[in-house]
Formats: sequence, structure tokens, C-alpha cells
Amino acid sequence: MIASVDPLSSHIAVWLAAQLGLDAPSWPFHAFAMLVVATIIVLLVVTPVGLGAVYLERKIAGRMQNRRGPNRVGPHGLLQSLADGVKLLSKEDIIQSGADVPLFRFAPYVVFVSAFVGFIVLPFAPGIVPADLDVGVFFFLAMIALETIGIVMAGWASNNKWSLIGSMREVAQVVSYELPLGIAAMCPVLVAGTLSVRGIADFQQGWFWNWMIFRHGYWAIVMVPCFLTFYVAGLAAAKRAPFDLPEAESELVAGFHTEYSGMRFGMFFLPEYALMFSLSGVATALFLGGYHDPVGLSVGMEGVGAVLWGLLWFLLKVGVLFFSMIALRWTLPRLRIDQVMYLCYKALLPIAMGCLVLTALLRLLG
Amino acid sequence: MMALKGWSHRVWMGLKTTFIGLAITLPYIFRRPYTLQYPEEVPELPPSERGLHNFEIDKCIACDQCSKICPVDCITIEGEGKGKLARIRTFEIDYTKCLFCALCCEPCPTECIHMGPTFDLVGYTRDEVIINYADRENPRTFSEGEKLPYEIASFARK
Repeated sequence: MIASVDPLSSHIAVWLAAQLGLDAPSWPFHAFAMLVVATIIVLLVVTPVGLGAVYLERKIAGRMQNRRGPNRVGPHGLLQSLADGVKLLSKEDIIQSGADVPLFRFAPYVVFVSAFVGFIVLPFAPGIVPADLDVGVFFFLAMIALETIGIVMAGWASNNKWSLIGSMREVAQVVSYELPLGIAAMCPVLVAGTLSVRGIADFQQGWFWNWMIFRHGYWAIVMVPCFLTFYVAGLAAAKRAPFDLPEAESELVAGFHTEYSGMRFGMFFLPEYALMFSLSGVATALFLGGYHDPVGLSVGMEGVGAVLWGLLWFLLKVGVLFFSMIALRWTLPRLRIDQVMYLCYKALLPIAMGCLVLTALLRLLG
Repeated sequence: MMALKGWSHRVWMGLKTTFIGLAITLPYIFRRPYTLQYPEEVPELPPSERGLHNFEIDKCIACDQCSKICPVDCITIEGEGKGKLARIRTFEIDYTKCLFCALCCEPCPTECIHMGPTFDLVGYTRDEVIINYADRENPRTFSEGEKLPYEIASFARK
């Protein structure tokens, strides 16, 4: 069972040092072992999640538009994402003249890493949390904000007016939406009294009225608007339609990744889906009871059964949120930039603040 | 107070219209897609479909009427003999030009040229989509489901 990333990497470091006849592994061994673990995680968890998400999105988009979606590569088109990945890998890597080459090369990695690092605080099942940080919620929000830096780097280094406008929009949008997102996330934190995502999920164990969103019934008055705020702000922070202004293909060609091709483009493409997944995961853990089922069956369960049961419910809830994000994308038209700002500062922020105050009051009153 | 009312109305409308939109788009997920999986599935065509021509070599008297009426000059005809005894030697239709107007079928005195149901013709070069219907050594083969010329002719006479 994977309890956390650290012990596994230190095991590898000790084993490596022993192979070379050393007693205690020095820091290069630890660094190398961590790299190995990170590679395994990226290969086995992150990439399948990203590719699967792309496939789902295309399939659902197709069905919503009376099309079939990908169905040529593999059974039901299941290998389409893989084929696209191979295609991206084999494409020519173009860096146009006038680009800031080091920044241009570095930017995709910043976006990729910051989007996927958010995964480590997700409680997948009881005992399966890559890193159960005490400041999990805060860490997650910080990692979302970090992605902006990568995108600004990409927009600036491209030396292209569309890219620059796209990345400027990204900054305006994501930094603005951090506020309602963070404030809405504070409400469950206030109730549970912990910033650990796993802690908040465990706080909601039992019947579904223990879930943050339905808490004791009457808490729903506060928590439903709070959840909706978190969800909408999350959509905007992940640059998902209808908030996909930074890449608005009809106005800005492709926004910040206009000049990117091949695998560098892929490195911008996958994090979008990773961010959707991790946002759905955090929303599930904060509001929808995390990996607990709605009828309290998980109370007292132990061992592998509890893990699988928890994983099933976690993936089910994340799947519902993920599906709703895709459905929204293929339903709503893109907002204008002033509408985006209006929604953030005049609608979501007041609602989030009201929710926070009300939550604090309800907490005080018991 | 008025401002608050307007604000809450706008927030409510934003939420409401989102769900109205979802109520329209979501049912489509459960409907059958319209897409036909061409070439495995072929669309049902009306009997009057104007596809590639069907041509009856033996009836043709090389009168050149179809070639004359063709608005884009895509038919090339060479014949031998004279009058009603004339026989066709070359009958080429250039499908890079043809616009499937079916005007060529109208003036034919022996009703030997018809529009068939085949709508797809592919080639790597332009020469591959110029078909010589009068080539007796390599007659154009008709794909499955495509009616043979005389069947079409009998259909047309009914």
C-alpha cells in the first residue's frame, strides 16, 4: 500500500546505497530515488488520467453534438489519445525566431509540474494519500496559482501579440478567481477545523447528511452556494470553457500556446485535464464527503476492502463533477473578459465572503 | 435596495440559464448519433440520385449529343462508322470537371447514358478520375449495390 511518496523513495535510496557498498545513502541517492518515484507516478498515474480525460471529453462532446467522437483507433477509439500523443511526440519542435528561447523551453514544464503536483494532496481512498499535508488545501491553491507563472512565461517568450494577450488574460482571470476559490474553500476548513484535505474528508464520514454540502440539513443554505462558488471559480482557475479566455481560439488563435508545437504543446494540453481532475477531487473532499459513501457503510471498514470501496466512491464523485465540467463546456458560450471580471468581483466574491461569515456564525452557534 | 434586487436577479438568471442550457444539451447524449460510418455504412439514396454515370456501350451510336450539351465539356467521344450504324470507340468522362447536372442523359436518342448511384470516386492522379466507359478490354466494374446499366434503363422506361 502506498502510504506516501517519501518512504518509497528512501527505500530505493537505501537499496541503491547498499548495492554500492555504502552504509547510509547520501543526498544524491535520495534525489535520484525521488526522481525514480516521480517518474513512476507520472508514467503510471498522471499520463493515463490525462489521456483518459481527453478521450472522455472528446467522446462526450461528440455525443452532445450528435456525433460519435473518436472511434477508429482501437476498440471504441480508446487508443485515440495514445495515437495523438505519439503524433505530438514525433512532430517537429519549432521555436520561432525572436522567441526568448530559455523561457520558451522552460514554460511548459512549469505548467505541467504545477498542475500535476496538486495531485499529491488528493485523498483517493482511506490510507491512500500521496502526501497528507497539514496545509493541504493551502498547498493545492498555491499550486494552481503557480501555473499562471508558467503561462505568463509562455506568452511572453513567444514574442507574439496573441500569446501575450492570452497570458495577460490568464493572469487577470486566474489571480482574480483565486479569491473566491480560496474563500469558498475556507468554509469547510472552518467547519472541520483542519487544512488537511484528508482530515476534512474524514470529518464527513457517515451518512450523507454528514457531508459538508448537506451538513445537518440546514447547513445546505450556506454550503450549496459555497460549493457552487468553489466549482465556478475552479472552472475559471482551470481555464475551462466558458472561462477559456486565455486560449480563446476564435479571437486569439490559441492564446498563450499559439507558437507551441509538438510535445511542448502537449505539455500545455494535458495539465488542463489534470487540473480538472484535481479540482474535482478537492471539491469532492471538501464538500461531497471525499471517499466516504452516502450511507455510512465505510464506518469501521478496514484493509483492502475499505481502500477499494473508498476509491470507488471517490472516483464516482470525481467522475460526476468531471462530467459536469465537460457538459458545461459544450453547453455555454465563452464569456467576454468584462463579464468574467464581473462574475468574479461582483458575484462570486460577495457570495463567497457571505458564506464565510455565515459559516463562522453557524459554527459559533453550534 | 434596488441595486441588490438587480444583482440577485442577475445572479439567479445566470444560474437558471445555465441549467436551461444543460437541459437542452444533455438529452443529446442519450440519442443516437446521426453520423454514418462511411464506408462501412452507406447512406440510403433516392432512385433519382445523380452519381457517376452508367453507360451502355452497345446502344450508343456516337451521335455526340451528350458531349454537345455538356455545360463544362467533360465528355469526349470518338466513334467509327456513320449514321445509325456508328459505334463508339472512346467515351471519356472527366470527373474533375463533371458537375452531375444530368443534362447529358436528356438528349440521348438511344437512352444509353444514365446517372448511377455511386457518389465516390478516388484516385491519386487526375488521370485516375477520367473514366473511359467504352474501353471493352477493361470495362468499368460496378460496385456492389450499384445497379447495372440495363436495370437502370428499365427503371427509367417504367
